[in-house]
Amino acid sequence: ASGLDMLHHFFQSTHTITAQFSQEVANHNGQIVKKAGGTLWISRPGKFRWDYSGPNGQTIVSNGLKVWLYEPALQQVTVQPLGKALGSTPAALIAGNDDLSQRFNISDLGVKNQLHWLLLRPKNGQDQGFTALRLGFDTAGILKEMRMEDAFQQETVLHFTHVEINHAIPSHEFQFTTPAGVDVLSQ
Amino acid sequence: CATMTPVHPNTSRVLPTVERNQVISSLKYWRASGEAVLSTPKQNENFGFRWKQSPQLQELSIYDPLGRTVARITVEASGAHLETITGEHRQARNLSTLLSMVLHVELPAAELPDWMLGLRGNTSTISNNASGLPNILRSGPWQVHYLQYTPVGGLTMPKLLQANGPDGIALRMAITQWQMGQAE
Repeated sequence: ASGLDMLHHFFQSTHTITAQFSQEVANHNGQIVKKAGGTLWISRPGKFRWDYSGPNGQTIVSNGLKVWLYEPALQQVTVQPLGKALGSTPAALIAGNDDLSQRFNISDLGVKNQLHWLLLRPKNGQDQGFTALRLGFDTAGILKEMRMEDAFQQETVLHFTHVEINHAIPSHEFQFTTPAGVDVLSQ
Repeated sequence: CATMTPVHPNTSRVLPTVERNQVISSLKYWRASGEAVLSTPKQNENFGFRWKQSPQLQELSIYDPLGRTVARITVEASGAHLETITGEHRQARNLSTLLSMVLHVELPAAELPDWMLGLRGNTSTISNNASGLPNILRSGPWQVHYLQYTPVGGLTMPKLLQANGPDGIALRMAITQWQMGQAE
């Protein structure tokens, strides 16, 4: 299948995703300046949970309408409308329902490192906060890697492992319960 | 009496507050990074930050929840320079002009270093804790509340603070990483 078919097939047929993720941000010299990882649950459209591991690991939960962003270090949760909160982050892109070809010029880069790559460039310049997004699919058409470049020449790389597609996810995963002693800032 | 010998910041003995303040205010190089949330009656903005202090240059980097730099402001004697993730470049006389462009809120940016360090600077103290460190400092319309401290080598440093300002503005900062002195 061509890269574009895989992209459309992935977004048409993928309703839920659970996976482990690792995330690295490399600066313009290629040095890794931030490493993080955790577990993600996605139920398209619009619902997701990203649990970052580690003592200060954030938790980001969307029930399709609102997004809770919990920062343990701040002992605080902020709640925002889904649309505004995570415009161009991977969570919103994968969980989103809009047709990417409306927002991006998409070209097929072919196969490299056993993944079939697509290059997405935002149509109207920079509004997505990145200059290029690359999506890597495995032979089964499952999204395994996302690479984002931005005007600071940083590269944000997300690897997905233990990916399960279209398994039932309990609805409580997409609800956020505020830990004791933590205050909630909502709009 | 205790002679004021220059103490290397990472001894394990925690310095009494007077000595602690002298050591910190004499530091030429330090870095603080962590997470912050800026709240106004209209919205709440989460961001990561890193402050790099050195004699010739201050640098404030602001990150999105992914950890990507979304804005970087460098301040030198000649002025302040802003670079954003959307490729925008701006110059201004000082940090606060550029910071208000990024955060869309007026903050007393010149005081941020002292707030982060837990130094009184030109604030007035409302209350101190048992060991003489600030609990609440006042600076004009701003009140800075120190919610948690943490030992960093021999120095007790702020870990969680919240600055409440006019018009319902609040800046809450969790400093998760301190580096006192020059990077080895």
